[in-house]
Amino acid sequence: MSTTYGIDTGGMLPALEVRSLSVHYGSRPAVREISLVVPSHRIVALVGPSGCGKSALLRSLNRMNDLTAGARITGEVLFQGRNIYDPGVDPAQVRQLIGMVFQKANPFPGSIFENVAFGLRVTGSHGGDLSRVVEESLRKAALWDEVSDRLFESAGGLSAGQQQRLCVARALAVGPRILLMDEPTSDLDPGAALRIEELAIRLKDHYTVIIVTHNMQQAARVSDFTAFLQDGELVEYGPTDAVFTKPREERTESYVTGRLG
Amino acid sequence: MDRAFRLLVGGAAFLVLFAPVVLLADVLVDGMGYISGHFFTNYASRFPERAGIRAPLLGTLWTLGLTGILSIPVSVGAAVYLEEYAPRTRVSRMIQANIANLAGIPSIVYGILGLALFVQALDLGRSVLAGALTLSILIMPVIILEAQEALRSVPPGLREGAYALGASRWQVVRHQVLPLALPGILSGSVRALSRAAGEAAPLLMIGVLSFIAFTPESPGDPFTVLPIQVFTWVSRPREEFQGLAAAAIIVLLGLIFAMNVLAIVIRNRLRPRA
Repeated sequence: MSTTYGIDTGGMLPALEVRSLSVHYGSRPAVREISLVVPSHRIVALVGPSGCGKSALLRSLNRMNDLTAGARITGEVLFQGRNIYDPGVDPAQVRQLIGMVFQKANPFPGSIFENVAFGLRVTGSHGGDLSRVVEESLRKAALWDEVSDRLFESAGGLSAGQQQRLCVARALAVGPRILLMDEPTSDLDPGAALRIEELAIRLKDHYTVIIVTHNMQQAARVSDFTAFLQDGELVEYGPTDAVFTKPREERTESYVTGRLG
Repeated sequence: MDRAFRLLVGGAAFLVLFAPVVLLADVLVDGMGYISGHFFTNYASRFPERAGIRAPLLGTLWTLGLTGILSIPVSVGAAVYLEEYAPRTRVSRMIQANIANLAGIPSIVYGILGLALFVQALDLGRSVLAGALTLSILIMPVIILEAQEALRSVPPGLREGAYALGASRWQVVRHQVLPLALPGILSGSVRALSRAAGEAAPLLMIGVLSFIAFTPESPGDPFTVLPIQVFTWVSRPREEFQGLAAAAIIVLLGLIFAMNVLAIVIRNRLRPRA
């Protein structure tokens, strides 16, 4: 099944265009022939029951699935006019431009400063002024005020929520256009989760955000567009209001009403 | 029933502890009297009161140093390849199974290989280099397995985090994985070397001499090692040589014990803070 949805991109070029993307882990299909358009400077939520393929889809958007043993990807992901799976494309560069934040905050051993500086060092994208870019990135991730006096202390000493925002800062430092967030708040308490949501909304001004969440309220709160996946298929994709209040598909309606109560 | 089982396993644990303690005590009683300054500085002699372990002690240190230099870099490289680079294919699984098998091969078999390959084919003679190469291929599978274990203990989330920032495979390995795995790799390497320190069989096989009245000055020189000196002295009839053998065992055990302590210290001290 191949489905394309017309999404109003507000006259701007889409940030990302997925065409007939399928992902197999071994012989098991995780994502089946999904096509969708991600508008620039918007938040797109990927929702659906566990195992519906939303994380598999997300990990295919910056070639993180390349690192998963047995993963096989077909189809196209167009970014800046080019398919990121073209043979000549360097996956490391794709990941620099399409950053990712994971379910479990994974700061590197070492200081807060070093966590943000690592990506800048390996990609050489700090333009010679490492500390300035580190500060900017921490400010963008709404963490600077909390850590500016202890930049050289271990990142392990931060709270879980702060660690997750550090991971956002780290990702922003290398200059991405798109930020992928894979259930970024599922390990956090409600207060810390809320701060991540606020952060995601603020990031819209400069970035495009694609967020996987199992929390329907979260999808409703933060996203502009929602894609509902089931059994690896894209069931429905459209403006979040529409998907939540008057879904076209019965499967969407029963899931949404079941989860929102 | 419960108590009987408890007694049984308790007894087993006691035996495991008891046997080496008795052995060690016996060696200490026999050998301590022979340990003195000139025991370390003298060469072997047919007069027990003049005999020392200068040649085998320095020979052991030479061999271990060279074995470490030869085996550790190659083994770590192989472990990094298998853990971080190799695709999980049938071929890599076969290599993996073979490394585990190699680690279980009796050391004397490596001696035969060393004799044929290094002493004869490569014409290295009964040199320190030939001995170190033989011990290297003996302990390389062990170091590879230990290094793989250390690499596997690095949390996968750390690799993902680094890759997601646009780091290349080499950068991920060099800057995130290796620093975290290094203490485990080093301590595993030192433990493997301490095993090599006690090996006599493969070196007897390549024909290492038992009586040497000089110390090696380059990798091409002939040499002997402590286990072989022990073996030689034990096979002498005079009782004093039994005491000298015990004294050499004490030195050898002291060396191996020190290496194992070093391995533990490396593991605990160098562990990066989380």
